[in-house]
Amino acid sequence: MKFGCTDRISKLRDDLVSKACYGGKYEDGIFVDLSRAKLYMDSYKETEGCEPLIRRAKAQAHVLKNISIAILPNELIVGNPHADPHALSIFPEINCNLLREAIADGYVREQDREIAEELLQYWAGRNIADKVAENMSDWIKKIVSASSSFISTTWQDGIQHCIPNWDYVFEHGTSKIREKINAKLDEIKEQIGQQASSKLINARYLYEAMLLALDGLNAYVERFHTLALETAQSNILCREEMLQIAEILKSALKEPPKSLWEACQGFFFLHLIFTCIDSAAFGSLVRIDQSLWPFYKKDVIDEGKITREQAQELIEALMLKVQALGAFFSRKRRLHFEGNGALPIWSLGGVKSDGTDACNELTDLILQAAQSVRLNQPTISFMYHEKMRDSSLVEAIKTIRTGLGYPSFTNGDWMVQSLIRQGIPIEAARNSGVVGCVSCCPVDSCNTTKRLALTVIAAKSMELALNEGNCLVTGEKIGPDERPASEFKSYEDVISAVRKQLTFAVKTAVNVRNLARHYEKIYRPNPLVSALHRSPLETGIDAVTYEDYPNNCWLNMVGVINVVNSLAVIKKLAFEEKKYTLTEITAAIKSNWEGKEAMRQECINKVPKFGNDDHYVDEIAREIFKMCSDIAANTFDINGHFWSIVAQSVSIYQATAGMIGALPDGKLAGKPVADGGISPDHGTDRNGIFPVLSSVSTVDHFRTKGLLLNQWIAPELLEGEQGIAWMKAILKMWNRKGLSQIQFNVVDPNLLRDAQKNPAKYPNLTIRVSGYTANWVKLTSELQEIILSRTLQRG
Amino acid sequence: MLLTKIVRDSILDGPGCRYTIFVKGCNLRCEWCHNPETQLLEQEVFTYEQFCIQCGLCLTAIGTNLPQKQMPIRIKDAADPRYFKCVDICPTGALSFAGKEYTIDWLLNDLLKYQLIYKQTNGGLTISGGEPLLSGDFSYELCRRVKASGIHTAIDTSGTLSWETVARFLPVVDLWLYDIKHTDDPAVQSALNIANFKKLINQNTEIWVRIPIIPGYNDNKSIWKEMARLIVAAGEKVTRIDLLPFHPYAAPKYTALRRHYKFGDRREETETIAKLAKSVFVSYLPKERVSMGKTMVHG
Ligand code: SF4
Repeated sequence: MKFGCTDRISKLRDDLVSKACYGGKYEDGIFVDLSRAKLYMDSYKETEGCEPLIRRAKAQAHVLKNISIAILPNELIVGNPHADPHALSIFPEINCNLLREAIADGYVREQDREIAEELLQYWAGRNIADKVAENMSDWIKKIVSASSSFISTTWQDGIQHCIPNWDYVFEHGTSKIREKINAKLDEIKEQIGQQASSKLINARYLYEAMLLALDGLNAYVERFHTLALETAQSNILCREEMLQIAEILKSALKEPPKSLWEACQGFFFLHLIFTCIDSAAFGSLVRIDQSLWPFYKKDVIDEGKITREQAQELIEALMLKVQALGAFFSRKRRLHFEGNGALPIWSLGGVKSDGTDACNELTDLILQAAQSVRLNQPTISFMYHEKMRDSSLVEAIKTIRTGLGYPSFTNGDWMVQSLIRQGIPIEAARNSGVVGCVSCCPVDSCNTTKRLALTVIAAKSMELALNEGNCLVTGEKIGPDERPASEFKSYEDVISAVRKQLTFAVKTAVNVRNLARHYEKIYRPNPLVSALHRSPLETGIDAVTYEDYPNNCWLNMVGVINVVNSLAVIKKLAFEEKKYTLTEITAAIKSNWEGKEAMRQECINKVPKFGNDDHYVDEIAREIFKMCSDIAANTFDINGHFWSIVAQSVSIYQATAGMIGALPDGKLAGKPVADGGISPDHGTDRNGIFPVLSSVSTVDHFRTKGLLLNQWIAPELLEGEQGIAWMKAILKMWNRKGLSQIQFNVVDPNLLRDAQKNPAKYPNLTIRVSGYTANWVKLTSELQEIILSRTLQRG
Repeated sequence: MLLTKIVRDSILDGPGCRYTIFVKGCNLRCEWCHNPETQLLEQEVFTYEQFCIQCGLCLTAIGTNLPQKQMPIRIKDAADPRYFKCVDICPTGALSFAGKEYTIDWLLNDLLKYQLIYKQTNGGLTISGGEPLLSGDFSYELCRRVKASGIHTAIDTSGTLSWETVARFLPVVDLWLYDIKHTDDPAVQSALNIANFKKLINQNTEIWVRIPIIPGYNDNKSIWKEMARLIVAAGEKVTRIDLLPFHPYAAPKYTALRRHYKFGDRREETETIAKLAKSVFVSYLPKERVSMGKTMVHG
């Protein structure tokens, strides 16, 4: 099968090096390159004693001025984090432990061992993770890091989400931005001379740092420009093309783009720097069909400079560049994001800030490009709304029909309302996109640069509530004290015990995150990102610190549905029918249902399960999600903003299987919790997709930042015009019911089975795992089986 | 009314998205039937041995003085009500009821929850079975109320009851999914089936003809030609012909009902036969009206 709209794209696709992890491992040949980390450290060693902002800017610039660069054959869009496409970056300044893991797991090459030691030595006590750890008691440290822990936070993975505001950069170009900064700097110096204040002095350092960082950025682009010219000299065969590329690189980012090509190139440079070179900021937010639209319109529609096909080739080339990126993940994260190299997501569709439909020709073209080039990243989220134009919606449905697993659908109408609830003005709420899997955030804000995400395995709170705060897997105490389950007198007692455990987990996780936030502001400000946003220039506050809108924190709850189904069992069998005492149920899960198979089967089959439009259990779901939202809303970030929940289990539900004991819903120890976020548990939805939507709609999505719903649809349901009409109708109902998100796997189970047996036949078969898509034949057989145990909706 | 299944998102039983219900009870006993649990009017018990965990609860439910001790409990006659309490107690679903009781109010309410979809896709209600006309009052009333809510109604029938029974439905049914299984077989009441068909085409209504293509039963060109001529005579009334290739996927259900499935080992190239049938039909009828349909085994 041929991929891509032109031969060039097919060739580029064949040369791709995958950075995805399967079974907790990277593919052969992938290694951690320490050259970036070394340059970064060298700069820090030279700047001891300088202002943190200046040190950071100098280090950013030093890396960009010296890191190795390359232009690969056939490329239209250039830029590589390393000269070797198998290399991954690592960020020991955030967390040294990752480098230790990389060494232990054999990802650091022999010749780099010495540098690795030097890095570990230098950053010890200086990296953010160490500074956070200084503030934690031994018990908390154990809970956060223990293998049975039910908390995981992204900073531990050396990730800091920092991305620029593309529209701002495209509007001005860095030359103009530089002028603006200089003007501000002059102004502020004068003010300081008259009436100094900490605020003004900090602003001065920021502006100076921004200029230093921009120097680095310009030098980086300039180096590529020179390289292109040199290549044109030395290589007759591609001279014409190299000269063209050099022309693009001459002004890329410095000036507002003059063409779609230049815009794509500029976009990619910044994407590259912020996801691979300066930090691992994946899950980036971009409304790509809006940001690139003016250039597409000019080149293709207004001036006819390039054809629609040429534009598609550019978009596909850009997608390939994004696909090729990745960063080094921790062991835990490698399991949590199986099959995924990073998490870049492009938001399409939605509305403009005035509320009108934002879909355009480029929206459709990007979807067509996705169908043609078939990659697993960037993944796409399509922001559905009531007034959207038909052709874009149809193209989105056609895209999922190809079995790609994306776009996922984000309910744009829900998004706007839920962001307004979080205190965001309506115009900004409309001009928002998706970050990560489901969470949304305004595009034109610094908030995107510091999304605070952490994960709590909610299912664990059920286990701890029934076991006096003790983990069933390790026997250790990891939650607050609780009386024995035998002393619970009512269903409400059980709920309060769950609430107590969950509240503790959330508060602990948030507290750890807040500590990290504090140190990030001081030791990892981001002058480069600050220079590429509007607000830092206006306010003199670094992008990592500044908040233009409140609340970009989200708390990911995994396995809530297992809590819901478990509570239904307890309510019905222990308190209403009194068939079993709570002591018996607790004993059964403690022994992993040993000798209690009939009882376990009864818990599975004779008690309603979420996802079947059964009021009994759906009502419990409503109550438990409300409880989660309430707990989050009473937990605050370092600036006093409340948290909101999301539910998106990525592949955490599978990776944590070994960490969660048996549960009253019939789950066995070692088996995974429910997937998705609000998807019914594996195979327990037995009445088709409509009742699933009904059940899911009993939960209040407006008090969340998004609840992920996976559905598996038989391909024949989407066949032909009728299939498109069917899907349109489903989406309309989903939208009307106020659901936040939905995504579809459209693939025949027989095909998946066949591919398990004959992987060589299906090298490019993709499947939606959670908020991302992965290569089916490379997934571990455990994850494959879990995906196959989902309910297939076949009409 | 006892239903064996509700499919809320069917695309096989009429235009658009269908809310299809399968009523229990049929006047015919076709031996190839792919949903055999819809034949008897009475409740029946499925026994799926593969789900049994040998817990013995079914035996205790019926009393201890039974001679047999095998599990699952041996149910000879799936419709024997003495075994119903075993189903209630069985924790695994190894024993389960073939039908479930529903009221018209409940069904109407459930369907209306999703009316947006049925209206959007020009879909609606389909009563299948079993034979919907056999449960005349129920089917009639449900169609009437659904149609009164502005939603399309269809009925999937073998048309082998009296013309009066059929005609009663004319005001409440928009589309007839009319089965023609044979042209000359008393076992499927061909004479009545064809007589009613000839009357139906003179009424002001729409018809889709559904023809199961059963190897060893009606896989015969002269039968197909005769069917085609009948349909040609109906003119514009018949807007679509679905040929339904036989498949043996219902075999596990026959076993679960303790019945013998004569067609269980038919492995002929049914698709090929159906294609052959299609070539015959399209020589009489416009190509776009003849399509290859599908039958779904519900479990
Ligand atoms: S009750 Fe069900 S699972 Fe138990 S022995 Fe009988 S049939 Fe088997």
